[in-house]
Amino acid sequence: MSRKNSSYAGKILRVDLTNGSITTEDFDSRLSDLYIGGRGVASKVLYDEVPPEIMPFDPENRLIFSPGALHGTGAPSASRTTVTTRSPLTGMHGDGHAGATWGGELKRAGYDLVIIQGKAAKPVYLFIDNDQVELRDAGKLWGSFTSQTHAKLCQDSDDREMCTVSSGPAGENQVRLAAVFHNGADKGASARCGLGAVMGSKNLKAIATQGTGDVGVADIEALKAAYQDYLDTIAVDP
Amino acid sequence: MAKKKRIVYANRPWEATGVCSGCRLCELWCSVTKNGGFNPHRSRVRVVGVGTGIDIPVTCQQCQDPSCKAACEFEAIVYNEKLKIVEVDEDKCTGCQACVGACPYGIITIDPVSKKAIKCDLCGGNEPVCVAICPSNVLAAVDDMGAAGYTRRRFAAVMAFDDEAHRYMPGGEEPIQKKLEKRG
Repeated sequence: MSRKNSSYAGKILRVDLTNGSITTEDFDSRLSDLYIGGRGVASKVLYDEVPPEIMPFDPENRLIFSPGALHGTGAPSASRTTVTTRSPLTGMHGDGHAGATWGGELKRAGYDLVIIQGKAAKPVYLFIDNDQVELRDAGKLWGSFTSQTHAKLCQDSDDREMCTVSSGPAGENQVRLAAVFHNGADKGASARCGLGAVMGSKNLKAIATQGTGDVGVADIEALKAAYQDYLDTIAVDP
Repeated sequence: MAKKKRIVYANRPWEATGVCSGCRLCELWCSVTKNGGFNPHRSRVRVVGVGTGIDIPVTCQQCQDPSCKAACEFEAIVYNEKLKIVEVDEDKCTGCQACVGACPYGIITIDPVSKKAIKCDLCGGNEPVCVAICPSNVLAAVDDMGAAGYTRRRFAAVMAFDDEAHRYMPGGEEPIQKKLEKRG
C-alpha cells in the first residue's frame, strides 16, 4: 500500500500478551474519516472492545497507543501520541498524551495503532523494527526507572535512535498514579489516569520501536503553506 | 562565476532564540523534499542532542579536499562543477560505508531505505529547504568567507576554554580565591 500520500501508516498492530500472538489489521479509512486519529480512534476501539464488566486490571482491558494523524510530519501542535485504557484511577475511559518521538517512530515502522490485550506470564517488552515484531524477556529491565529502561533498550539500536514507551516501578506495582513515559521520564509523559498501572498489570515493561519508512503527506505545498499561515497568525497575536 | 556555498549552523548565542531549539524541522523537510515522505533518519542534516535542552544541527561542510571522496574505492563520490561540491553517484555507490567512517563530522551516512550514501547537495542549487524552514533562522547557506567567520570563532572558543580552565589552577585568579575565602 502506498504510504507516501498519507500521513497514516495504514496498519494496526494487535498484541495478545496471554498467548503471545501478534497480528496486524488494516487501518480502516472509515476509522480515520470519523475519528481522525490519536485520541479519537483509540477511544472508539476502547468503546468497542472493553464493555463495562471488564475492570481496569483485568487482562481483557485494552491498552492502546495511538499517535495523532499528523504526528511525524512536524506539523505544529499536532505531534502528540495518546495512550488509552479503562483507568484504574477513575474507573472510566482514561487517556494521556505526550510529545517526544515514539509515536512518529511507530508510524515510520508502519503502524498507526498498537492494541495491547491480555497479560504476560512474566515481564516482557515489545520490540518493533519495521515488519519484525516480537515479545522479548524484560526480566533485566523490571525494576528500572523509565530513563534507565530507555537507555538500556537504546543499546539494541544501531545508528538510528531507538524510541520507547515504558512504565517504571510505580507501574510495575500498579500504583494508580503511574505514568507511561515516552523515551524516558525526562522526555515525554502520558501521566493521567494511571496508564502505567495498567501497563504493569499486564507485565508489559516497554515497547521499543525503530522504523525506516517515510510518513507521507497528500499535498506537501499545502502543508508548507498551512504551517507558514500558522506562524504568521501566532506572530500577529501570540 | 557562482560562489561555492555550504550550510552552516549560524548561531547567535547572544539572542534568546538565536540557537537551535531542537525542533528538527530541518530533518523533516530535508527528507520530505528529497524522498516525498517525512523521515529524520533519511535527512542530510542531522540534529544532535548533546545535553538536556542543548541541540546542535550538523551539516555537511562541503570540504575542499573531501575525506569521503578519498575513502571511496568505487569512484562514487564525484565533483559537481556547477555547485563546486561533491555528490554521491547512486549508480556506483555500493553502500560499503567507507565514506561514513572517513567523514570527520559524521554527517555523510547510509540511507536506511536505499542503503546508499547520502549527503547534502544544497538542494541541487535551489534555495535550501532546511534554511528556509528553520524557525530560529540558525541555518544559513554561506560562501567561503562567511564559513570562515564561523570556523574562526569556533576555534577561538576552543582556545577560550584553555584560558578559562587555567583560572582554576592553583594560584589562579579570583574564582578560586573567592571560593577558598568563603570556605574559611
